[in-house]
Amino acid sequence: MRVVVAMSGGVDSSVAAGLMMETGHEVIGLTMKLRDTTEEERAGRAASCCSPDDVHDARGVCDLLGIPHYTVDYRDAFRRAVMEPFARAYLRGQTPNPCVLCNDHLKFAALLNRARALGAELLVTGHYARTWTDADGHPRLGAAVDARKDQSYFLFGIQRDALRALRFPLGDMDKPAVRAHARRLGLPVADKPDSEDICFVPGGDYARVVESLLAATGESAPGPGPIVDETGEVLGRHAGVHHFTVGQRKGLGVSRGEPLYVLGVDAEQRAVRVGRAADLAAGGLVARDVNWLGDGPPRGPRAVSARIRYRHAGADATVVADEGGAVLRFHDPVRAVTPGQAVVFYDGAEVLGGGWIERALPIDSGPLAGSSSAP
Amino acid sequence: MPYLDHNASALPDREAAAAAARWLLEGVGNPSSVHTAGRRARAALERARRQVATALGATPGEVVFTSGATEALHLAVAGLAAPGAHVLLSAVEHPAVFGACRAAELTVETVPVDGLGRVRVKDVVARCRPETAFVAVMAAQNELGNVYPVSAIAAAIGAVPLIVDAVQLFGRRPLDVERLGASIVVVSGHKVGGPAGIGALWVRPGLCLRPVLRGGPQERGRRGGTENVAGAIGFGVAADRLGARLAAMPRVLALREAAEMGLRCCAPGIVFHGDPQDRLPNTLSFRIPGIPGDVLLAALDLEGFCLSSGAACASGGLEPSPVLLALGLDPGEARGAVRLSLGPETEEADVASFIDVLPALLARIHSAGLTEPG
Repeated sequence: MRVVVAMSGGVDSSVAAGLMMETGHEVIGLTMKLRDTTEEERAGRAASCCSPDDVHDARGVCDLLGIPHYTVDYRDAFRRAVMEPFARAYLRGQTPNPCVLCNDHLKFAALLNRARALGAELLVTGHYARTWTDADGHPRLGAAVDARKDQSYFLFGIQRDALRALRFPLGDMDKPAVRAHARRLGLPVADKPDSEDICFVPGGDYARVVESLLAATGESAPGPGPIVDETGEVLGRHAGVHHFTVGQRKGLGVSRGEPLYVLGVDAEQRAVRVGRAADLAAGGLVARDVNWLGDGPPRGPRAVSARIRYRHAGADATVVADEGGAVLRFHDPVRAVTPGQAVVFYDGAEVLGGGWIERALPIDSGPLAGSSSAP
Repeated sequence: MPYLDHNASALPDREAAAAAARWLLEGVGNPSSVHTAGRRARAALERARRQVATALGATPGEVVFTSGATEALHLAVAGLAAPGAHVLLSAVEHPAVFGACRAAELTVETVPVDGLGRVRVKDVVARCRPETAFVAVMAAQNELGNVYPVSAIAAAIGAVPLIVDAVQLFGRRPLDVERLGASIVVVSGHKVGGPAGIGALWVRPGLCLRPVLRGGPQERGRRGGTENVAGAIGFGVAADRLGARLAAMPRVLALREAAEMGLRCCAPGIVFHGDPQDRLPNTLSFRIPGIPGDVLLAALDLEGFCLSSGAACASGGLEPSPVLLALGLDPGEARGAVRLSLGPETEEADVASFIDVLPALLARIHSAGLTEPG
């Protein structure tokens, strides 16, 4: 069968392509070109996944495998659908997750359509995640076998009909096995380092990237404001709320005789709220734009394991679906619930769905069903 | 594998390839050496120069071999103009001309084209100044196939030198540099069945060119570096056989017209680019509304059909073709462009199978619902 492999130029998607070939498929490589090389990348000072040079690597792997390779120009779309929303989220005092946006809008929507336009029946990626079909023929999404590499957190937004056309051949392997396959296949990227950064923030300097993105759209970056404690006392000043994320301890520049953490960001007041570690705990959260996989939206309260950030082990919780959103109550308080990040609901290894964290709920905020009167 | 991309590179002429290969396998020596081997190499090189000169209607001493048309254009541009000089380029010149002008730090003014990509003589004349170092208008446009009135332009601009990129015209229409009236004419080996990596420029006698590649006194001091003898031999043989290519053009034209008719039938709303009156017989550029060019090219490629978007360079890159933008297309329209270019070897079956395969591919692309993501 004809399949498209989304190739980033890294070892994972390259191995995915090789494995699909070995199972007898007609494989086509597609690489999304998402942005142009930055000065720093040209000077070789930074590297990350999906960088422009990776288009070159992906093409090299396809040439070596003897399969067609095409580059898809998504630069405009990436800027519009991923980078600019990323920057604007900081204006709202949130800490965004652009990888999910890229998956939802580009990889598993536009690129999937392009695969279909090329006559492919499946879109294959090098994600560490698993898919299967249940007894009723419904597609299911689950975590990878290797918990340290699992990327299912980033995939909750995939539409159910899209899920049917996706395959993740690395989902039951660990990284050493993938690298071993790469060497066995003779892939030149076998020893290419893993990328952990967000592709357009290769050095990890978020604030500067946010500022330049906003400057490009004519918006102004968040301005300076006060750092306040629980009592409202001003402890100091900050250069802009985009320098802060919930749970952050370093770089506050204020002290109070005990460790202080960012508890939240008030974008309208330009205020960064700080307090004690104990005050970081939340009793639940409100999520918006929830995508339900599995059996669809639960009719009543549903016990889940909720992951509130990538690499979070998951916290036992009860979730109630609520008009496109969801309200979630943790069984035990959870630290640093961060607006803008995704919350993903699991039942064991299976992804039931997920959404975007709108706000944290305090520890004693009443019964679950009544807390749905979110603004 | 129906190869419908002859403007990117022609199919190799077997005799030209064989001659070049023979030199690679058996040839010995550097043409600059005084010993027997060197003399033989020089003889082979000069024979190739005679062949290319004859095909151009020139004498051998006027022909300079280069590594290709890009280098030839750089030599022409940098050889005629000093930094800061005013030069006049048609808006649809090959990127090599624009690149050479940037490299030479010239002051570039462009002559606009109309919606069919036509260059008008009066538009050139109106912008030409006494101090203009040169005018560059190509003989035939690589993406559109448009043929330009270079003789009339040469006559109209008088003493101002005219650089003519004749890469696409060579072998498709008769070319006689004497009658053309240009100062420099550039051609390329692999567009006429010779190997890639060899090109040439004809330089009007008496015209002084400053070399770009300085080194030895090769090419009469106009281009340093040991000559590519095998490439020149292949180019020479291909040039020698140019008559057969030209003779095939009426048949090529009929095939292109068949392609055009077939496209009109199976792709309602199709838009053809370029000048319907004065165009190379082999080139057809089009776009089909709602069909991104890169998707159609990939879909065709997967069925074994080799075509390009605007130009081969534009297929590898991702920017919309500047040529099509110069015609007034918006970037979305320009991204829809597909170029079919035929050659003497193209058979009726190649075109027929292309037209046969197209409707199913178009239907599949339409039903995939490609929209701008985001």
